[in-house]
Amino acid sequence: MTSVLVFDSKVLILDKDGFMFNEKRIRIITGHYGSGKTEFAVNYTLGLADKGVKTAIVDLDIVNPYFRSRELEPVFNEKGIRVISSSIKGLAGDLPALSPEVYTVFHDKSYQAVFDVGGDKVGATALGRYHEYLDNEPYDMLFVLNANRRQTKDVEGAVKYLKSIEEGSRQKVTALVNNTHLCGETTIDDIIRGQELCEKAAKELGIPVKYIVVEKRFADMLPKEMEGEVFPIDIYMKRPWEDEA
Amino acid sequence: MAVIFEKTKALTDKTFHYCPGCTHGIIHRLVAEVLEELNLTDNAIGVAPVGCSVFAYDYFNCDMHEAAHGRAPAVATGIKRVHPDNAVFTYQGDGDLASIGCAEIVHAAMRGEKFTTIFVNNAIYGMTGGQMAPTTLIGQKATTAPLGRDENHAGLPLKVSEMLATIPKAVFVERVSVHDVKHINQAKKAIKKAFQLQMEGKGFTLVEVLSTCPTNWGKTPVESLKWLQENMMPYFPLGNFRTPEEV
Amino acid sequence: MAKELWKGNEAIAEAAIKSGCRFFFGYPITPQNEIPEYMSLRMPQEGGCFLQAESEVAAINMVYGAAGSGARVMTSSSSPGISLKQEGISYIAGAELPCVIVNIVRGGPGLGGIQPAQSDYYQACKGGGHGDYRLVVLAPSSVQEAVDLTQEAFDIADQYRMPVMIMGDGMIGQMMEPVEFREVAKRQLPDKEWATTGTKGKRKANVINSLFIDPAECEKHNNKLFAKYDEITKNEMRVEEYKLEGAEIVFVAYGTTARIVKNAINTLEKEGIKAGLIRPITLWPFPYASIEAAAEKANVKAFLTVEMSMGQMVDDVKIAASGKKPVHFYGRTGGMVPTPAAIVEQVKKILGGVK
Repeated sequence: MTSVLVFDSKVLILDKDGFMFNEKRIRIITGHYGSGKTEFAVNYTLGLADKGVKTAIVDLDIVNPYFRSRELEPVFNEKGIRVISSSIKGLAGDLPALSPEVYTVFHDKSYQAVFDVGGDKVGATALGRYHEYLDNEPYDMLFVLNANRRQTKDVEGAVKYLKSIEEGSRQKVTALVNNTHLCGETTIDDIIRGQELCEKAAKELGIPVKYIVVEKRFADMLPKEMEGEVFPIDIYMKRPWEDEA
Repeated sequence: MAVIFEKTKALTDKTFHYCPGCTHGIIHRLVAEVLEELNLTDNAIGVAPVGCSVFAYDYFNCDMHEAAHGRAPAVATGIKRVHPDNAVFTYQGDGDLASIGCAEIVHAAMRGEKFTTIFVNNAIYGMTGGQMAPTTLIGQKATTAPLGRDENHAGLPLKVSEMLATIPKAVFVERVSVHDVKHINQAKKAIKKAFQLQMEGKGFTLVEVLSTCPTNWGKTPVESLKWLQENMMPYFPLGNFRTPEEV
Repeated sequence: MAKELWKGNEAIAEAAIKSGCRFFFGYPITPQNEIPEYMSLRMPQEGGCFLQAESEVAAINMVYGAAGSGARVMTSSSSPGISLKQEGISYIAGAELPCVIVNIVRGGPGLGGIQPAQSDYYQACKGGGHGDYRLVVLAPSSVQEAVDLTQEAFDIADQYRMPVMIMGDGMIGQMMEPVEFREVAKRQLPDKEWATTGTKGKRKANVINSLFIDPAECEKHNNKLFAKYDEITKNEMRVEEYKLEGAEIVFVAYGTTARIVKNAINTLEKEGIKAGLIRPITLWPFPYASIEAAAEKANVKAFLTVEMSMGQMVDDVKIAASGKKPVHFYGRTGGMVPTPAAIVEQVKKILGGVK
């Protein structure tokens, strides 16, 4: 598997297996809600911290009231990852109340930052307020695509959705992430179908497919000729009945 | 023998329950005559919420909804959105429209809902027994204002037509009275205009009708008509507040 | 049709559209906002009408007007908003109008919180608004079931001329699950000859009304409603029974709580403790008979009701068990969700420690 991405020379982190995690210092993760964006953001952030860099996750999700990355604060804290979300503590808040702490990651450039952005145009709009920083520092914005979501199931829908997120966020998507899944019912066919969609959409948009996100059980089953790096994940965003008793 | 008066077919034969001298009967007839004259009786759907006119569904010879107190504009919104070609109207009193249903009427007007509201203002709660309404005049006695309405305590009466006339999509707002024949004729004209504009799809239309309540005012019918002219009309001036520009 | 991934709230909205619902009146409140948002996008595409009302009070009265006019109509809200709708729901039940009301329940009382809860059981099943009336209350435990029940809800509403509530805890609205939209079995539905459409000069005027000035008439109307409710109890009661065979402990739980309980049952099974589940799918009509039958079985030692509330359904379980077997309760509330481990712990306590 090869990546077609040409990387910024300033990028310091290089994965021994290839180009994993070597996005620019500011990484923005967007996508349709239900695309599995947060699951990817969580896994990405934990993986990034495992490289031994100073990592922060910024939960900018003002759209979803449940299943947000801030719910995993204890997991992040264990790895020394700084979690920045609402200025209101407690999971049950539905006020946007973005913390002024968000500015930290723009000013303190010793942080490698992952932004988990709410999953639609409205959610992405929250990012727009930081455009004065993002205009002055190169970033990577990854758009997570799930072909099993109706609004992003074909190239036309996916491109339309991506454009609406770009419009809301006032930023440009730099790469696609194939995260086609069907929760516990995912098959290898889903992933391959999603990859075809991603590659077609990427071609139309003139951007690369950066990652193919799969549960670990699929990692060795994928065909070789896919664009992007395979990114095996663990499931962190569990429902209460998925916990072991 | 020549027929000199014939009751409109848009009213049923049921005898009104209204107290003698109450002007609800006149207003009912005006609305019904307009429906008949505009050929809308078979097409009309009316909404009668809680208040003295709660039984209006027994009198109007068209499809009707009874509604909860104050909610007629929301109910009429639901009806009109389902049947955009039907003539839809609400028939509401001042407690209903100006107090408990204030939000519903303002927002129906804001959205420009294409129905007509007949707003009967008699400055008192009739049905429940003469309590103070938002339209009760200063000094006017009510069972919940035994010494008369005190502006320092209960504020000043709400001028509904003036308030709604500030809303762009309230295309026709007029205050009329039914205390004499001349004014009854003018009232009918306004009601007719409101229904016509509704059917042309122009927007929200409302006619406020100053009305009497001899029973709760404790006055004879004739005294009541005089009291309306001398007390209500100075505070609630008659006239048109909004009308679409003629093209 | 291939399965797609849907968020519960969106899936409920799409299911409504698939059932021919063309009118939606709502007001924003978390955690159900995706329903009105989805409707605002989809209704115009289908030639329908989405309207954001000025309040929940107005929204339910718009539903009353549209339902009385013969339309398939829906509203949705979450707990505090459903409280505001109660007046309208009582009028709708009184005037015998069909409609679907979705409650994506959050923690209470008062403003409570936005996390999932089941503390609106009393409100949905034991009244809510004033007067003697019932709602058919459907409680899905997956997004797929929410879709299936929503589609059927409109038919149930039309068949019996009454409001039907879809009651899902916040989890049902917010989680993503694979969904397949299926055809629902066709029912023989009566014509809406009572609807206000304008008489067209062809019939007597129709009146949508719940006012009866003569108490004898009002009582007669109530009797008529309750004859209908008896009919519904006979025809529409639904329940899932899971691993009841030989169970010592019988859980009673609904919605997503039932899924947590199933997880606990499987853990208990591994430890050699036999437990089963009675999952009411219709909270009203409540499946008393299933519980009664279980109470009479020799192998059943006790019931354990698990809820995301302080124990609102436990009364019904006690009525059904009618003293034949003890009824225990375990619940979390205010937006807290029971864990499988805590449920297993409760069972061990009931069975007297180590088995």
